[in-house]
Amino acid sequence: MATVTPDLGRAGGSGGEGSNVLRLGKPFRYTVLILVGAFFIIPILASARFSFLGNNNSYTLSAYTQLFGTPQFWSTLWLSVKVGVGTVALTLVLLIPTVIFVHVRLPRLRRLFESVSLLPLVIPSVVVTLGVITSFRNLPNIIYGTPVILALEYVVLALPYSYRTFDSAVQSIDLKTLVDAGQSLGAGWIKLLRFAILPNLRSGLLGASILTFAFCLGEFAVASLLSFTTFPVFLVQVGRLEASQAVALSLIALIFTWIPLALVMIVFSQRRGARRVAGVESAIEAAVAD
Amino acid sequence: MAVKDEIRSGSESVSGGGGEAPADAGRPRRARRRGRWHTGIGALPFLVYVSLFLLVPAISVVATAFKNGNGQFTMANFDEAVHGVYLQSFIASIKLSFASALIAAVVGVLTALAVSATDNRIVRALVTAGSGVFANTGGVPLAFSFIATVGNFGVVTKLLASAGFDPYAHGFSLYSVLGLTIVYQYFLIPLMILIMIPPIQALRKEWIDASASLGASRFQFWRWVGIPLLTPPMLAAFIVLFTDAFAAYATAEALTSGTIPLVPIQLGSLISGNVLAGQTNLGDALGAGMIVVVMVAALLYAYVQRKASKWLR
Amino acid sequence: MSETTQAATSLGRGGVEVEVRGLSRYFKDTAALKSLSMRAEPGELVVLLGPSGCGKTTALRMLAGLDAPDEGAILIGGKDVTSLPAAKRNIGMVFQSYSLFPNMTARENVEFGLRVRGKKSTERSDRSAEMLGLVGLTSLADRFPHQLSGGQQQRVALARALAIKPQLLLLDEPLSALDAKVRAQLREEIRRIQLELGITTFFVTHDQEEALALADRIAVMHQGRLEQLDTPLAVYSNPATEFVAEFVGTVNRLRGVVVDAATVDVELVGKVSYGNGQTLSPGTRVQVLIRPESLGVTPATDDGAEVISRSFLGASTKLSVRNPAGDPIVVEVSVAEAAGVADSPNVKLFARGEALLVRPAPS
Repeated sequence: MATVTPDLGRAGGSGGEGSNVLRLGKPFRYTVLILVGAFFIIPILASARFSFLGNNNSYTLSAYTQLFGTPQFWSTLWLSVKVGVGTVALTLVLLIPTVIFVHVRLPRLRRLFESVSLLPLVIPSVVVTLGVITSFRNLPNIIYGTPVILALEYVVLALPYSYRTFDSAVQSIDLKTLVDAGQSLGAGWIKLLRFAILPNLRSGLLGASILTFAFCLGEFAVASLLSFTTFPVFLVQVGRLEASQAVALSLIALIFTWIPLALVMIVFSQRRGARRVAGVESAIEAAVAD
Repeated sequence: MAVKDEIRSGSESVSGGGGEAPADAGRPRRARRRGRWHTGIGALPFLVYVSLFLLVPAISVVATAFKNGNGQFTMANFDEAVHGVYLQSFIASIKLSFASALIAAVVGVLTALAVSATDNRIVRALVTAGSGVFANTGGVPLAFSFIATVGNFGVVTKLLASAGFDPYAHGFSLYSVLGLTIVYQYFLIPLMILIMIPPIQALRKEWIDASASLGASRFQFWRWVGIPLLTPPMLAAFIVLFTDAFAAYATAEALTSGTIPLVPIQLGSLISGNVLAGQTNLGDALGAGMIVVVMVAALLYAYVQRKASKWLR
Repeated sequence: MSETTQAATSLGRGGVEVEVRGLSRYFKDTAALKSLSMRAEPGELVVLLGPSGCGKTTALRMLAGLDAPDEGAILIGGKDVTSLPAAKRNIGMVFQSYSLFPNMTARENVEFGLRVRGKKSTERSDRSAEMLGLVGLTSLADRFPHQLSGGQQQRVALARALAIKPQLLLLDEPLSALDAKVRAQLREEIRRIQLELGITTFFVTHDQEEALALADRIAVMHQGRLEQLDTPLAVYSNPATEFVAEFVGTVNRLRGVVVDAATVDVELVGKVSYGNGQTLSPGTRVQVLIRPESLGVTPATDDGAEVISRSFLGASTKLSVRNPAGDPIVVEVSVAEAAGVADSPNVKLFARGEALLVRPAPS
């Protein structure tokens, strides 16, 4: 936190020097950035080329047209989307009250709850899957035998991303002041949530949702080991038969996860710290005026 | 100090703004009590949920690992898990994760340094957003992108071959531990960049200026100030990367179709019944072993953080 | 002076003369510093005073070697150091805040400059003990910066800067991040140590009170230019420019008409003398700049100035009054004098001191 203190006395001061306080030379910077950049861009370009490559070095869209003509493409995508939407809904229902409660009533346990949300990083998803099989085998078929179990598990496995995103969004607004002010004006919790808190957390909720949804669309281990043919599982099956289709499919999948993720990253890097109490007052007024 | 402050502010918030406005205490107090009831209900399900869908499965794996097919206590599962092919897979997994994490840590730190030193705003925004995106990708699509690039018939493979250097003729294979090490860099390097940018940017201009005015060379600054300050976050990040690589399943499975001897892959094969195991609950012993490895890493992480907290509040 | 030089030989190195000639610095299109020239005598404490963006910090960083001038030269002890890097200048510098190395204890921080010079550990610990004693922190030597208060951190920073026996001490708003009380206390202490060591010192601040209390001479800067370089008394009572008059202390702007070469007739106040030698012909409409304490009040019936507010400041009372046109005038008088007008809604003003500046009224 201490790093973000703007130095007014130096306004217009060291501007010419830029941020290169580390005094690392240009050759070093450019070499590193170009090499690393190449490592990340080449596979994408290569995939694009590979997916368009026909039999005799001609370019063709056949990999894509064939894919879109496969019923399984659509059915597995639909399954993944359904699981994703369910997971996001469940995640929001679980996260919103929890995070707000922790911030308002138990601020000293904030770190603890954050650690709980990071637990899935300590337990590999392969192990979780095995545990699900051993412990939930006897549950009614409606839960264990259907993709519902996927959504239920994905909520937990995506927590490291969803919880922190939402938590830092809540942290960036002055929630306690908002709640205290709202309550002193006589707003009940439902009104407070609907008109004052949630509108201020819109970007946090969106970020958590996108990250969770992206996780669900890409998750492979749990789905494949529990024998559900979700989109990534289908992708592997395609890959065993038809490499260029699998690559085409991967490219689509990557691009469609990158776009929303990039949006989240850009929005959040700009939002960070920019939010202040300014919007808070009007939000409370709106809550009470209703 | 910080803990005390936190507790103080915590108790403040619990007791509420009691002395604030005694005049109109009636309505707010009622709202407050009702509010506590609502949110209290709201926070408990979270812990119950995580216990049910994460801790129960994890504990059941560990518990089952100590049982034989008849439910009696046995160490036989572990005995098999730490011998022969399974021991090999643990060694291979740890080697792979260590090497991947090490390479990614070095490259990631250098990149984070280069980015932090760049005054071009667009480059910085691009790298930060890009890292956030790439660190969250991985899995199956990533595997196929690399197959398209440096697989048997990959674009770059062919390019190199036509230039007279066929990597596959020189012992390289994407479908190997070396190949996986390269592929893992795709999500480990961005993760390292993401973790390291904040501590690097927290290196204050004043420290650099002060060390210069005290007569220190650039090298001396890094030796006595820069590197000591960056070491704890670097170690912590390394451990995170190691854990990430160790637990990764999808990329390896998609790339090698389960043929490579890594713990998650072996465990996956046992789960899907592709392998006839000598022991009924061998898989649970492997799972417990994985948890142990990750736990050791987590403990190291906590230790490093504690060490660093000597000077970081 | 002889006392201080003696102390200097045991602790520091004594003062050197510092001179800058035509120092300029441009950032993109704007000039942060326009041809700054000044001299500091050996052992002198010069305060660079001005609002943010006036170029004072830029000037200080150039003295330190942390920034290079686009034009001009810097001479320290008669030697041209313009192109010498910071690490070779042997200058002690104290920054605004958070400049201590967080991974080192107070003692290690103080020893840092000696460590990079390859001094032996016995010499280092002797020197750090001496320096921490000088700033009164012997008992906190083994604490890390985050375990010290802001004021203590700045003391350590001062000890660290002095440990290398610098030939010049530079302080960049070292007190601005501190509480008012600590600030005043540390200010005194910095001055005491500076006098004890007899070290030539530049002190940057935007706080005029701090500047008046500390400085041998104040350099008031504005928009990259040096407006005035003089003793605190001269800067306060005889400002060279309108900016200086306004920036250092409080000032009233009143309308008036020139009577003769030494007197103006000021509205509501009457005759006021002025002595800074402007040649204005009698009858010229002028603006008169006058300090609150150069005005006095007597009770008035209904003419005169209306009192808007009174604030008791302890040793004096500040009255805000309003002229018929509605412009505010601030008057600072003794408590007794204020008591004399306690019941009057209107007061009559008179001059008890000279006007600071008299200039032709803007048309």
